[in-house]
Amino acid sequence: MIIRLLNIQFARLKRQKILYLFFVVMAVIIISNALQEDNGMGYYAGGKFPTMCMQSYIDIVGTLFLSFISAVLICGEKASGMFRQPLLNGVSKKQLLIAKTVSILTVALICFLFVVIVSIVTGFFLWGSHIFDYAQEYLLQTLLLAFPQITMVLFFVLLSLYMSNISSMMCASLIILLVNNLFSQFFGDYISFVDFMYYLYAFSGYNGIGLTGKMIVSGVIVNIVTGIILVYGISRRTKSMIM
Amino acid sequence: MYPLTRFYARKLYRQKLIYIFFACFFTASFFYAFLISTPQMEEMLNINIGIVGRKNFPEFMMRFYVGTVGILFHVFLLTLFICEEDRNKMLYQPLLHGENRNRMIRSKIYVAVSMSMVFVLLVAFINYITAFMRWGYEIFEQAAFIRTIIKYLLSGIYMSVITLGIVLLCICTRNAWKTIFFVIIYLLIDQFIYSSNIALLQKIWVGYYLNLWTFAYEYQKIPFSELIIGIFIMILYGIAFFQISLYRTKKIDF
Repeated sequence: MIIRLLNIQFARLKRQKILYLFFVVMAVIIISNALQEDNGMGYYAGGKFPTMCMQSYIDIVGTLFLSFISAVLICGEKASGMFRQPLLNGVSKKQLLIAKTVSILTVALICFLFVVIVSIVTGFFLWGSHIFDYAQEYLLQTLLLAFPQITMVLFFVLLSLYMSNISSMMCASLIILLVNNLFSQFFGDYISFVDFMYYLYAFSGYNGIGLTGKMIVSGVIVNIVTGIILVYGISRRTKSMIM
Repeated sequence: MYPLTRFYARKLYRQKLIYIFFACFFTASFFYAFLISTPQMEEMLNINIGIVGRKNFPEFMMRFYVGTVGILFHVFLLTLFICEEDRNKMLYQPLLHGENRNRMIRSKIYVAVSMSMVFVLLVAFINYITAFMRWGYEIFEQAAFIRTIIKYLLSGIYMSVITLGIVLLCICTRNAWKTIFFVIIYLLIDQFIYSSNIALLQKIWVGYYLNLWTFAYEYQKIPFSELIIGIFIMILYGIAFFQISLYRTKKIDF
């Protein structure tokens, strides 16, 4: 049943023109950034270019886009009364939420990989094999960033279960992201023990944060623990939710 | 004030998200004013408090609101104010009580535009309060003070024009997520145009002038010619958005 539900979700996502438009816009932004770095011999020209693209994607664009996709798939459907439609065909609430979460997660990973791949390809055309000078660093960052992004998706799913419409969900996400950005910058040392969103910045080397073994371990643990709590929260909310 | 305008204004200012947002903004302003005290902190945040502090602080903090964050905040509020009302069938309710479409949409637009102006002034007020708490009367050096206030007023004009654009999008798409998405695309294109070298496109692009005033003339006086051209382009956009909104409202099939 879940596989069938997933297929339906993916088919719906594939039909979203907005997703393709997002890819086009991201590609244009990445290419224009590359040309700018190339002209100005910027700090991120060459091997560090993929890191820069990851940072700008993670900073606000990508995270807000994920919140947007969650809002459309959950809040939008809840508001239009479409959310409960599969339940009429014998699907349980839990199965429906799993299918939605997995589809949002897939979109998140595809968008992120798209940014990484396009930045590497663009960099290769501009700077040749220099793009691989820091390959080890940015591939590790790519791998590590998957953790906070998965947790982020779970967080957005939970948030959208509580929000009544797309606009308030997006507004709440914006405020949360801004507050998190603020606390990550000023109290990074303290909130790194509890805040999974801090690792969106830390793992992408934002503001020159260096990757250390201790940080990687604590980041992975914080994200796994938060992920488990969020899954528990989603399942509780799903049970108590009146469709 | 027209009763419908007052009604819409009251409805908008009941949104708790507005108060949460400005509480967060005050916190941000406070942190930047008080917590950047060590060279390590300055290096980490890529900020030199010697330059951005004191009389320049309100101008420095302005960029945190005017632009991406402010526009996104506006689009979320306005979609809540127009698209969600449309979806809930609340938009045409005043029409059942004898109002006409023109007056209804004008009231919405007046509330939205005044909201954007009030928010920019509120941001200025918050920044001046935190700057005063930190540096005292130093922040009121005459030349810098006048320059900053002018920049805030210009930002207010820009935000009002963008608000008109968002209202137009809401009326055309009648869908919250489409409006939000188009605004995100606008923000990305805006950054692209400002950083590109396409002079002709830059001259006619509404967002270019704000970027010019905020970044190219950072902590400097804006040349009079740039100021006039920018305001002129913004007013043109504003009039176009306003007229098209009125025209499209007539065509809405409720």
